[in-house]
Amino acid sequence: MQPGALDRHGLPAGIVTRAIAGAVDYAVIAVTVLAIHFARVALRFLWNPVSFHWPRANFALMLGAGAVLMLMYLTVAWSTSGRTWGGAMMSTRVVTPKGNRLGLGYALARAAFTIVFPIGLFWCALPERRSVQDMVLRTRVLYDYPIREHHDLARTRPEPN
Amino acid sequence: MCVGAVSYATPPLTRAASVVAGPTRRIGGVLMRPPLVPSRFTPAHWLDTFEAQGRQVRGLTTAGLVTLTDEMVPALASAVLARLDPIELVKQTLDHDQVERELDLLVPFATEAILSRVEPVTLIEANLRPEQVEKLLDLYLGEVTTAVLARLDLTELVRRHVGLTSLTRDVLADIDLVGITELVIAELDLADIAQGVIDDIDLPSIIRASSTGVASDMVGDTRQSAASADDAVSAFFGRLRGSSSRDTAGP
Repeated sequence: MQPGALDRHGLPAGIVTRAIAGAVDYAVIAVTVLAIHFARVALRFLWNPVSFHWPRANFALMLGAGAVLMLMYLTVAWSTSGRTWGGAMMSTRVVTPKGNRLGLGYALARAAFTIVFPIGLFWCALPERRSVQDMVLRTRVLYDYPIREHHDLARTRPEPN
Repeated sequence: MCVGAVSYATPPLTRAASVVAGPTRRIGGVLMRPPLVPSRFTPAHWLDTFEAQGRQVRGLTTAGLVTLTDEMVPALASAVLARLDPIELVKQTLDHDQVERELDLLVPFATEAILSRVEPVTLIEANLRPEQVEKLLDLYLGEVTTAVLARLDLTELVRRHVGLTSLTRDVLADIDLVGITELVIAELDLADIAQGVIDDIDLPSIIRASSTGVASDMVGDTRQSAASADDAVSAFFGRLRGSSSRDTAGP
């Protein structure tokens, strides 16, 4: 680990980290939607292979399905561990103002707000590092490195004089 | 008693004899060579003749005896030896201990005398035949070699006297390493060996651990890079906002 990482633990995460985490989450949902689509096509083929033809993808339907999946995904992730897969990869966690995990309703509201107004994320480019959702719902997204990394950083950190 | 008597009687007898000797000698001379008798008829002449005759006969007899002895002794010896076993005779009469003692005394002198007159190396070179050398080597070479090797530290000798570096270099220069390697590869079943190594060292777990490590490093680097970018972006917008607030505030 590079020096300075331990100092960021518990501090608000910035735009780049959160954007990468969000991109990972969107990729997960996109892959899931595609998998569902292909599963549906396969079932149709198995049901009637003779008259099978490749169905035309309905973009709006897929988008809607993706939105629903994203809603469920974000809600469950934030209300259980506080981090999605993207957040786990980038070591960020969504917490309440007191630093606790979000409740189910709280996570659902934030998830809906994020899906409806995704552009609000880019407000965390400012020094306060808070998106529109964070300011409205009073949540925070913090750097949260794993325990092992934390201890590794503590071991490698130079002792203060 | 007798000796005393003789010693007592000897001097008077000696004196008497000396008195009588003179006249006796004169009388004897007259008797041996009577006067007026021719010499060849005198007793002295006869005695001289007898003496000469006796001397001649004695000479002839001696010569004859010598000749007879020269002829008889070999014949007698042959006859005796033909009836006896000399070796058995020697064995029965010979005292071995005495012989050994005599040899112990004589052999060193004899050896020294021989060696002082003979050059051993020249003698051996002149008389030792190749087949004798081969036989000697067959008999003793193993024992001699074993004894020599038991007294030498070959490792130290080689280390001190053999240039191992240059020797190795020369050996490597002479041998066909590529050919040997190809031969080894052709003889070995490398697939089996590789499979055995893989089975023994649990290669899948190693690959898994290294892959995990690589992936963790990549993710860690990504996090760090993103966090640094966060700082940079925040600082930029902070400066931007700070300069814009100064502008709106006015002078």
